[in-house]
Amino acid sequence: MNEDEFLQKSRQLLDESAQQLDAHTLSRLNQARQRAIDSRLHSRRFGLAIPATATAVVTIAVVSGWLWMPHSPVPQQPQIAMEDMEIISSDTELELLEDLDFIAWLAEEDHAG
Amino acid sequence: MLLATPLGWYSLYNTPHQEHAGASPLEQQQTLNQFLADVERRAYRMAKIASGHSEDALDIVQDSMLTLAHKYGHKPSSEWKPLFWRILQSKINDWHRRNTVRNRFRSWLKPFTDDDDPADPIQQAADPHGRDPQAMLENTDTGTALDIALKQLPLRQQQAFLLRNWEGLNVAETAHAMGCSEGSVKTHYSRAVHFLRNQLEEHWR
Repeated sequence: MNEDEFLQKSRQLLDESAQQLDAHTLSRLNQARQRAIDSRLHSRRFGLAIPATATAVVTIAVVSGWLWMPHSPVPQQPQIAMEDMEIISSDTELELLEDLDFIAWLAEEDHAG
Repeated sequence: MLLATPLGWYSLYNTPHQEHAGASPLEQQQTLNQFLADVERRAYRMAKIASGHSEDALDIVQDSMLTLAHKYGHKPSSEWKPLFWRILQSKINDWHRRNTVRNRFRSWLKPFTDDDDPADPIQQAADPHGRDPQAMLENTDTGTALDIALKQLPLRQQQAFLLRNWEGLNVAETAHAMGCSEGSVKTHYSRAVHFLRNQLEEHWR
């Protein structure tokens, strides 16, 4: 018997031994397989549940925070802008603003005098 | 991004949805069931030959199936085969390590337990027919003879022979499954074939 024949015969015998397993062993193997597949399904469900739960919690937190926060009046940006425009457009008033410190000092001096 | 895992390189970008695009969960379940059903008998036989115990072999196979399904079930089915055999061999190695430690522990305790639990003289008695493993080989059928001879092999030679010759893995796949170099696989396989031929060829004629 050469090596190839020997290897082929050993494969054949091993195949036969695998096919001749008793019913009890086959049943246990079947149970093990089902358990493995169930664990896969369970982990898949669990894996999908984590991001879904996290998203829901974050959404609820953001919405709750927004609802519970006191709503301050909306800043009147247009009015400020208009005042700025008036100041900028008026040369006199701009000069007054630039010398505001000096004017304040003068007023204090007058008051003291 | 790649991460090194005990079972090789794992891509973080390989999400289940990317890898099984188009396959429903039911189809994935059926594919995994079919794969495991295809390998379970051979896996059990390998574990049984390695451990010598039916219950331990069933535990090893079940642990291997759980690990494959739980950690690698989302991988493409074409990758399952090398992964499964690597997991199985790893579980068999773990079993052997635990068994070795357990036996060593028992041997340390033996002097303290000898007085209380003397060895069964019937078990200690020599075989009246003077049979040794070689003699037993000659008196059994060819399949049992192969089993006995395989159990006499060192674990690594046994794994190399079964994965290469029975499972049909090539040298590189066997090296991956056994977690060793291709050179080691060739050495183990060659020694295993040499030993088995010496043991069995006369018996099989």
